[in-house]
Amino acid sequence: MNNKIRVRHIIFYIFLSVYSFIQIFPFYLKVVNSLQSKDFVPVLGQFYLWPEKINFGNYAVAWKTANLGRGYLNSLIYVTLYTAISAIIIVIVGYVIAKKKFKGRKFVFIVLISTMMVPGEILFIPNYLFLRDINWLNTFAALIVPGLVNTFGIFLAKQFFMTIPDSILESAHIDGASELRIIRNIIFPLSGPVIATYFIITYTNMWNEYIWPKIVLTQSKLYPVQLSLHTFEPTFKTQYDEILKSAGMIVTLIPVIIVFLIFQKKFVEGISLTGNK
Amino acid sequence: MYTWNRYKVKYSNELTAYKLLSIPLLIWGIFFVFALFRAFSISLTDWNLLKEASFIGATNYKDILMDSETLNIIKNTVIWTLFIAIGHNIIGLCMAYMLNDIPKGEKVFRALLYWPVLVSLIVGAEMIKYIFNPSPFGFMNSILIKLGLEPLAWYQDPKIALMSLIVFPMITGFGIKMLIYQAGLKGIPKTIYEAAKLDGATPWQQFTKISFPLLKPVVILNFVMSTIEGFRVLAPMQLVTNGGPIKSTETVVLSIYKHGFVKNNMGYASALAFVLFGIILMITIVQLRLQGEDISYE
Repeated sequence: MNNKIRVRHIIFYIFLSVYSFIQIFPFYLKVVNSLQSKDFVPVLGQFYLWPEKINFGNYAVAWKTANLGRGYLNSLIYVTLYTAISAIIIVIVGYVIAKKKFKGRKFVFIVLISTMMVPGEILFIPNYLFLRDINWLNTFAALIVPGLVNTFGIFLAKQFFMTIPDSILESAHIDGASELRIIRNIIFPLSGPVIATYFIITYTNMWNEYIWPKIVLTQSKLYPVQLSLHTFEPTFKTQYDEILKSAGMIVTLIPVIIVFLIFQKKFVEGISLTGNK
Repeated sequence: MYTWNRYKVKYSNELTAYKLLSIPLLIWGIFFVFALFRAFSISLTDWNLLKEASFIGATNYKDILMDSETLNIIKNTVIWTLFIAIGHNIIGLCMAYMLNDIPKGEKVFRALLYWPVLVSLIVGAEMIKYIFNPSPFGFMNSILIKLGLEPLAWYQDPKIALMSLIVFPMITGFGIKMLIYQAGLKGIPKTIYEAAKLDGATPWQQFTKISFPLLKPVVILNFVMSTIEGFRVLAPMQLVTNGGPIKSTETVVLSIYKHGFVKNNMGYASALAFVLFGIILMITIVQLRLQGEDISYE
């Protein structure tokens, strides 16, 4: 029996290794490609598992041509602002729905959650037109404000606050603390774990967002880093453009990978808790 | 006096609740409720940004039903959805089972298997362009040449274009499903397995007779999620083929995008978006029906 279990584990390890390899290998070849020298010419039917001459200079060139610094800064500003403001909103809404007894509480929650069922594509056109009417196209506000009430986050926060005993809040009420003070001094410090989970998942999602920025932004100086990658698509593409594009791609991936490696546990918790990304 | 006080406390409590919710609900009201109504009213017009909108009733919806193009985009979207949903769920469940079973290394393998989900849609599209590149230097073509076969045109060949777009997302994007299956499998009480072991059940029997039936609600949830995501697919088509060649990779959302923001046919695009909404609503209702008969561990 013990031997059988060992054999099963070995088979599983082989499967997992092969499948992990499939997940990594194409990306690895892209990394190799990004390090090739400027005059690199591929041979037909040849895989390059290691660059012929390592050339880190491609990264500098890619950074400069696509103005990736600007893109990075734009992404950093708007993603951070979005995540921070929406985190405050989801904590307050989640807290109110979980802990306040008021008329229409269930209704508000159900209506908010049903938002998740409506495909965002329906809202593209009316929201685009609304932002155009109030002259918000080509602003960061157009990227941030429409999605501020994040229903996934509200769900996450509400589930979290349900687990917190009422007694903590009641004693604060008896001491005469105002609602805002309770929120600032009790609710926010308590919600550390849920904010962390929300922050990490939302940050990576927003970092990768491209279609909404593409709709509301026309000025390339406002482009988030994902849209900056378009620069590497000239009409007549050379081998070197391909190398630069590989380098640009890797650069945009780095922050997400770092965040994931550091906070893997939070990721897993958040996703398996809500069944959502 | 006492009741008055209690009334006041209760009343002020309700008031603070509404106050705290007011700004979020306002934002939500503008960008969701108002937007939804506006989208619907636009869908009843022939507005194309250039001329005044005029009310044409359900004409757009009728046009969508009559248009042979609609059948094509729905067919393509359904093919994509089926492959992605079945692929992600089978791979996700298998990987989750193996990860939960192995004695060591769960974290490392989980990270390696999950990480492609973090990759942005733009980079994902670049990977498709690289792997299935129609030039003889592409990844798959290099393999074909190595094997002594003729290189293929992949996503530029209408016959295999859609498949070329599906394969890579299908075999790499299962991470979220995998995590949910892992959590589901861990939620099944160990005692059930121990009892089954005492009765001499093989691991395969344990999986098919215990794990899988008890996992049914999770399987349904995951399938519905994949289906909804599948119907909303846009990026691979938009970024790699733009629906071509000869519309062989055109999907519902790509069509919405093109009608709305390329041809400025706001009315038609909005109507199509509501058709998509209807389809997704139907899938969700089917899910709720299926989940009705819940299974308990007892």
